[in-house]
Amino acid sequence: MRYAGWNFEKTLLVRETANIARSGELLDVCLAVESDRAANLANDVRVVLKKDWNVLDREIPSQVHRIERHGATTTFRVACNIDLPAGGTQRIGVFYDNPQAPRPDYQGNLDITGNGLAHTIDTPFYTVTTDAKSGQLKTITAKTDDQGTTNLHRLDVPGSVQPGNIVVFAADDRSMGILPMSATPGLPAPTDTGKMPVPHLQQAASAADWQQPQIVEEARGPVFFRQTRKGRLVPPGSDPKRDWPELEITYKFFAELPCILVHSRLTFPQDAGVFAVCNDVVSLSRAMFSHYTFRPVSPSLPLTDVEEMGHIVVDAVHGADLPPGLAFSDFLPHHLAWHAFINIHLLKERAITGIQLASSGGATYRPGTYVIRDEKSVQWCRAPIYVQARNRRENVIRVPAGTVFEEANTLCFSNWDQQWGQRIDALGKRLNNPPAVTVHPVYLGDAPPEPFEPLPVGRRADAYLRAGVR
Amino acid sequence: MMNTTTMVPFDPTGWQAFLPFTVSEPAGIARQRAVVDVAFALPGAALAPEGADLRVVHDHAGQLRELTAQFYNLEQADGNITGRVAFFLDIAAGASESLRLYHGNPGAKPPSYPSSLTVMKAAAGPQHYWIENEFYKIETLPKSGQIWHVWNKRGSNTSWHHNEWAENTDKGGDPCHWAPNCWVGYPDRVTNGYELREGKEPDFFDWHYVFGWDNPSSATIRGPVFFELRRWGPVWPHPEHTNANIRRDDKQRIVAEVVYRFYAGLPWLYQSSRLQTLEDLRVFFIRNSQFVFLDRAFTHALLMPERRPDILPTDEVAPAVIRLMARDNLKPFPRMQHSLSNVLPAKLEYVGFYNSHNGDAFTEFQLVERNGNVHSGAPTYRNHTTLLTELHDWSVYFGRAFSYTNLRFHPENATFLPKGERYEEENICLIHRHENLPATLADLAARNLELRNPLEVKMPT
Repeated sequence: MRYAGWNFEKTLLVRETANIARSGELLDVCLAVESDRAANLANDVRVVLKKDWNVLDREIPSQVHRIERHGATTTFRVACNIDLPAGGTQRIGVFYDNPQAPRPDYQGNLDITGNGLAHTIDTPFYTVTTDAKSGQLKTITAKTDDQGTTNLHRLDVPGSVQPGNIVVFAADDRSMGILPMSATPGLPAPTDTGKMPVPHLQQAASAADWQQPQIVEEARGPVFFRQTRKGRLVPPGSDPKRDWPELEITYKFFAELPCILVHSRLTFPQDAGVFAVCNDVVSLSRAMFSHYTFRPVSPSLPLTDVEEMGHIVVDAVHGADLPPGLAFSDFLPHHLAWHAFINIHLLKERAITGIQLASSGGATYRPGTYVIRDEKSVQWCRAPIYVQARNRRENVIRVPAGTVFEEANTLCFSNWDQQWGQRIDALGKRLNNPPAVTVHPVYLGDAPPEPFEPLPVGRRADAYLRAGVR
Repeated sequence: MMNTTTMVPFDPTGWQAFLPFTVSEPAGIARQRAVVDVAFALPGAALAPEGADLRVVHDHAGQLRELTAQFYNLEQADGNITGRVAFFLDIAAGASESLRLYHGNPGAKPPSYPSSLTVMKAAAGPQHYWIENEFYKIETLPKSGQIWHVWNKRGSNTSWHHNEWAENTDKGGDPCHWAPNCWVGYPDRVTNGYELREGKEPDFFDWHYVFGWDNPSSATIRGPVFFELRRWGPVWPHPEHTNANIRRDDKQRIVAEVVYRFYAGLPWLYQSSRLQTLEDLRVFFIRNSQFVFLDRAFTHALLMPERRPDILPTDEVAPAVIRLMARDNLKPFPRMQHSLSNVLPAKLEYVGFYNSHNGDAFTEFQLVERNGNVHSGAPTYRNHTTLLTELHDWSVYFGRAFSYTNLRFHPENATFLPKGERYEEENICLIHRHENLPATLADLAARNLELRNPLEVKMPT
């Protein structure tokens, strides 16, 4: 018996139902077990592929996290990567309860260095660093493969930090005075009218402004690295004691997926007047890209048809005479299936793609996807609220207390070529159509509700029902 | 205000009567050479030959000045004259001007107003015209009368047309105005679609294009203010680009009407079209509002969305300015026709192109767009969108496609159009000069406001 000393095993039955061949598919499953069998879960869990119910195959790297004791029941999550053929099934054994088992030392593709908020994360697909003050992505280097040679592409604007989420507040002159607004990277300047200077009525705060947000959770292992940070969105120079919105951001980096999962939850504890709420803000070096590309979801299109990508030139050479600000007015809907900045030019072929997984929220005004260009950067954001004329009090949008905006997106790295669109669409379809996993035997005790875990799994399967993309 | 209309002193001696009316400016913008086009009725009046004794006179504090005017659709019935009159007027923002329509002067001769609009009937076909004013020169297709060549006299003064078919290259190429058109599909026909790669003309659909008309019914109105060319009739499969060997019946399936109106002294022309199905059809698409240009003619596109009702009146709606890709072969996927589709609404405030190098610019203001079902009144059709199509070394155009499915030749994607379906549009096509983007955007904003807020005429009934 290969697993002598292990007393119990849970069986996972994984079924691929979306007819997509999957390589390195992430499984992240919550299991409930009796607490008297859970003394060594941090060390003793082993995940083994099985050929049959009683035929073991090979052990695969796994990562145990969120071990939580609830009286007689203990829950934990176990994550691993498996290959799964289209329409195929896989039986997996999860062995546990071996008090003597040492922690396994799996070697993987995920290399994490650093601590606190500042990390360097290196995978076969990218290398990123996070900012020591905010924890936001700071440098982003994509890796592309050119016939076995890895090319590195620095995509960020040097010296900048990813804004992540931006709220443009309408300044409240009773409590804050009308403050001059320091330019928010990429956001269009307010429109002035007339010759007299118009006081700027807005002040913006982004996750890049965070100063040492609280690290709520962190998990690292051979399958993924996750860090969740939380803090108030306080405009620079404003009174920090006010009840500013609370923002929580989770980054998750994976060993086998060419993506970074970004989950955000923005909560307004009290009424607020705003000009914009921008989620999933990604700001990159304009010099590194030739086009912005998007993939709509057209409800009126028959399912037997294909969606067509749209393309806008963003590069600073051919677009040098284009005005800064919004690159495509407000034509882009809020719920694109995915969008990307790409470079199609020889030896620069690369893409960074945002695939939408889920979003929810309350108040909206001109909700949409917005693309913004300035001299050095190109930026996309998904905004539930977006006022363009921010120099008028009539345009302030009231966000009621208790409003929560929640977003989950993946930032995916890839080469670019003529088949790129199909590959990205397949990836989006895959992420939004996870394999079905059932756990056996069913736990007979009182299992608590499954704790929230940000996963690269979307609720946009409807966006991929049509015959494909081109 | 600079006077841009021709006015000469008017002597009312000898005129029997006049009909007073007023013209008001409703939008708070000063207008120059604004078009006033209004129906009138003159009770108890007798129509002189050619309407020789009709005049429009501006009454400015008792000073009477005659305006260049064009009377048309004149009829005499039951002792009354009815008709329409078009003239230009300069008017201050918010102002109201008093005018008079004089009639009844047996000694009056038909007026002879100067006009910068010249119309020359050409010899290559029954619908062949040269139309020219100080801003543009336009040539129509000899057989169909569709706009064939366009020269921007304030720009490059080279024709914007492209060559869709090689065999037409030495014959002047193919038209700028392609709409309306419809590909009627026969998806259940055993076709040569299987052999398309061998370069044969497909026979699983018929091209019904108005530019394939061969001398349709037509009528013209000429005068010092405008020249109107109106054509209508059944739209048959395009003779040049439809397989002639296919057995076809002689049933009329589609009728259309296309109207152009060209003005003196204005850089724009009016264009409308109406397309109606005469029987139930399966179609691969219908397009209107489609002007097709040489890919090298323009460098940039402008797209101005309509102000949605959910946008605050104090908020801004800005146009998108995008770089075209076909000219410099910048398309990521060169064989895909569309750069943009499925996100642009079917109706926009305006769409346009400009060339940042030579100053050429063309902008279409979309005034009316009706995609209605005449039986149910319900709006129709999936995938109703404006698309931008670009192909390097080929063409660039915006089109409004009611059913331009991406896999449109697949039988399952053909769209059913019921008998009596109707599509209508009215556009203003501006042929202008681009100097710099701020100036162009300001000019388009002002023109858009003006076009959507015509002068108000109060005429006694």
